Amino acid sequence: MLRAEAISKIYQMGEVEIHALRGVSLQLHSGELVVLLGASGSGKSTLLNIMGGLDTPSSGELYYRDHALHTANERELTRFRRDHVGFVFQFYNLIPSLTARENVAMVTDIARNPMAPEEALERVGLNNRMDHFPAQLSGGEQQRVAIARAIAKRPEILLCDEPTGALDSTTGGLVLEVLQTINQELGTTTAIITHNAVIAEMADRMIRLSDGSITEEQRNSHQRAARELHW
Amino acid sequence: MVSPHVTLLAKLLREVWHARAQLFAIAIVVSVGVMVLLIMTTARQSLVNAQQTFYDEHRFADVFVELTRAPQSLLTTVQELPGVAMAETRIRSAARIELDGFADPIQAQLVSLPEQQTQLLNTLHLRSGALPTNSRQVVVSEPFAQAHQLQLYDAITAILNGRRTELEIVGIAISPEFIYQIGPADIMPDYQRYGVFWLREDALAAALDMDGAFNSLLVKLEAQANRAHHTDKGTLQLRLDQLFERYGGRGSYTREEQISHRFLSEELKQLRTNSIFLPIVFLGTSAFLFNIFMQRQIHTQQQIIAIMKAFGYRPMVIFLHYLGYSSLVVLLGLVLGVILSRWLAATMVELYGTYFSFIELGVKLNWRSFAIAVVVTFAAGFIGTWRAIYQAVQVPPAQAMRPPSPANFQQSRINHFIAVMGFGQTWRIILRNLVRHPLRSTLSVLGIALAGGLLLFGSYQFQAISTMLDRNYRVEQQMDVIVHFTQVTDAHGLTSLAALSGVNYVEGMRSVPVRLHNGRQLYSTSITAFDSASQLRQLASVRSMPTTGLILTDHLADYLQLETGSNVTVEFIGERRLTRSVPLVATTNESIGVGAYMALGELNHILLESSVLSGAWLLIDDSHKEALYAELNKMPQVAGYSHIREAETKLRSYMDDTVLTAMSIIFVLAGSLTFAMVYNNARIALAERERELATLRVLGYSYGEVARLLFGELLLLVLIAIPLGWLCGFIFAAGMTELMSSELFRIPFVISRQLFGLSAFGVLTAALIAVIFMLRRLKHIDLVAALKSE
Repeated sequence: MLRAEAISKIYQMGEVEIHALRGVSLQLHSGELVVLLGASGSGKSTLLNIMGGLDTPSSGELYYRDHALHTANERELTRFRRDHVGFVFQFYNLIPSLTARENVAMVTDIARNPMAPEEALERVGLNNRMDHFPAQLSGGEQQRVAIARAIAKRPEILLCDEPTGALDSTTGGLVLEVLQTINQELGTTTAIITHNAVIAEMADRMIRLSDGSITEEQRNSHQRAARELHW
Repeated sequence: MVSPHVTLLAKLLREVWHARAQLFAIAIVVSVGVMVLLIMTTARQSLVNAQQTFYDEHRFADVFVELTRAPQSLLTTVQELPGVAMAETRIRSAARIELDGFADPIQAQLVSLPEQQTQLLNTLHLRSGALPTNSRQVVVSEPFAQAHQLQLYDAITAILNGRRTELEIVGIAISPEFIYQIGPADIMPDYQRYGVFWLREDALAAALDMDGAFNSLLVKLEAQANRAHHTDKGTLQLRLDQLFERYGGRGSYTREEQISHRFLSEELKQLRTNSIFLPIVFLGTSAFLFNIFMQRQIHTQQQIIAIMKAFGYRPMVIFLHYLGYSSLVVLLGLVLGVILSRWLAATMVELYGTYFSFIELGVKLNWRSFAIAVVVTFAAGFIGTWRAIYQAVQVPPAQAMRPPSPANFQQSRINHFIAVMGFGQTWRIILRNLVRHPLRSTLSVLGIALAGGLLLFGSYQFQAISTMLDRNYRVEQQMDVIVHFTQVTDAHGLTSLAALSGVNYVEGMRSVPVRLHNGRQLYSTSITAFDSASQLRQLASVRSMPTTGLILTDHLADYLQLETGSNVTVEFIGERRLTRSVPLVATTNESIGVGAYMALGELNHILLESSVLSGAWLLIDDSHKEALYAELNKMPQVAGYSHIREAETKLRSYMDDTVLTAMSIIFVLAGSLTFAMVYNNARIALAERERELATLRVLGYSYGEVARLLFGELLLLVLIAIPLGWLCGFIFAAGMTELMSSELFRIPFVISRQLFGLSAFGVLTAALIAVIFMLRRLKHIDLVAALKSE
């Protein structure tokens, strides 16, 4: 579904060149749940940003089905994000002036074939918090709204950048459970990046990044349920 | 080791440099307020100084007496009166001047210079040449000489008492008595057709049969008497009046009634009004806006403040640090303001110099105003900084350093209302944001409204003045030419004028000099009398001319504290001298000059005369103008005439030069302020919303959709602010109209729809430009960085 070939990313920081990615190649297959594992600075966020059309690679090729993303312009990338990708961020990034329902509607308003905001919120277990503003929700609840927002457009790919990074273990587990359920029920290709190795246990596949390169790739024969994970 | 202060200073300077475009826009706001204050006070100060210097150095008299003829010996009597420091006699006379190559009649005021000793009072300031040494030499007033490009040793012809005299120009001078040099019946100077000429006393004495006699007296009061005002001066005036009554004295008058001084004082009074009112409005507005901007600007640094606090910096140090930030902006604003205002004030003063003849018009920055500007702007910066820092240091550093928790939106009636009104998400975000920060939204709206109000205010005078001139010259005074007779005449005078080629219509009129009294209030003017069925003269707001009683300009009636129906004491001071109590039957709201009017029959009845005229109004065929002038010049009964269109042109150019130049400056400043206001608003809104906007871009919102979110808010603010701005402008304009009313003119309060449109257009244009600037910035938001930051 998403195919990266020998992707490199070099940032020019003043006079210093930083090689965030050094020729990374990987594929995301339809419906699988992948965990990208790595320490901070390993290049995992850069990879996620490039896969999500937020950034472009310095070299290498990136394809979404048969669309080349590495040559896409700003407008085409916007289109790609709008139609095919759902994002979940570490810090939720909800619009504070909108209620949970409206935050989700923010996306369903512009999507081609969205589910109802209510349905999306129900899927993340927030049916009775729909009219609450972000400030009235706990961190875990806010992240679930963010997930509802990401899945409401029925994206082919769900990209999650440290979705549990700002949450305690119990709440984080709850959020991961939601992600796993979505992946299983809707068949959304899901990539979760994290530095927390425990989370890899729920994935179909684990990819470890270090210093801008893939150092390890491992398929889980036995996926654990998110609710069983503890850290 | 580097001292923390050096580090902080480096941080400060780098941040200032980083935000330079924005801070510059804020500095413009500061400089506009400073400029308005400095321009107005500096211009006024330089005129006041020039006036004071001229008066002091050339001993401008305090009391004046005009009379028919009195013996020189009376001078000693005058000198001995208590309170008199100096007195000087002289001979004055009206005359006509002829110049080669200039067909129009030239009215002249001839003034004698003492033969033996030097001049004591109202002494001349020679620009070139010397004082006359014989009776054929003359000193010419500078504006007249300039208008005709006269040089020393040029010859002019004076016609005095029917006798032509060739005179040689030996000097060109100005006098404190004629700083504003206008003919007796004019309100605007006409340097080509009116001039002042100084001759030796013997020259005038011989021509006017005034040997050993005088007809004009100047008195300088002892400093004490002058200071003690009314009582001493009043007593002296009374004595002078008694003394000269049998010599045809027309009543003594003080500087306040002296024509040049009066016009200059009126002008200074207006400048003073301007220099108080405009700066209050502008400096007030700019201080207010600066305060808001500084507060919001610093607010965007909240995280850095938290870090500084976490490092252990005390709130006071943080405050001082940011005070440096706002002080740099104030400094930049002040420097800009001082440089530009010096230049603009000089331009304004130069224009005044063409209407008022001073020895020298130096432009010195008014340091007191500068001090006010410094205090006000620094205080605004101080308060804005303090409030922002106060808010920032309230937040525990740990909390502030974490990515911001969602802004505290709660379910409320208004939020519910926004939800059920069926707005799209974009508008919900916009509306909820505005509602969530009611103070900030209100201040923004108020700021834009003030700027829009200033635009309206800066433009209304253009239209008001043209309306005023149109009314005066198209409706109230419809004659083409005004003729003054040498002596009063009867209706036959009109017949000979009507017979002239090019004259289409003639109407007679009479003008008599009077003093109007009401209790202590006194005003010298003349009553203009004409037929109540006049075709050429309408009195504004008087439907039909009453056949009895007196009509006054409302401004004059107010000055004299008179109401319609009450009686006015009218002292006739012309040929026939008598005092009558006449009822005030109506007031006219004419906007130019002040006057007293009466039906011709009524005036002649009071003066116990039958149909007597002192002049006429003509409608003429413009193609015969030159021929008509030539014929009028030949008529012995015609003392002078003036073309009303020329007067109109003069007044229009005076208005353009003075009031409208000042207003143009104000208009441009108001425009800059509007732009700076709207731009800063958009810029700060962008900084505050960067993260939210980036999130939306990541979610797949296009550039245009995100721009709509950002600018929808601006548009909404602007749309609310525009009508409010109209209200502000309306109030400013009304205040200005009230304060600007003077004897010379009262600007009518007219604000048309176009002006409202202009103000709205200005604000919207400023918004559009700001949006264009912002779009470029919006395009360059780093999506990834914006998501991680804060």
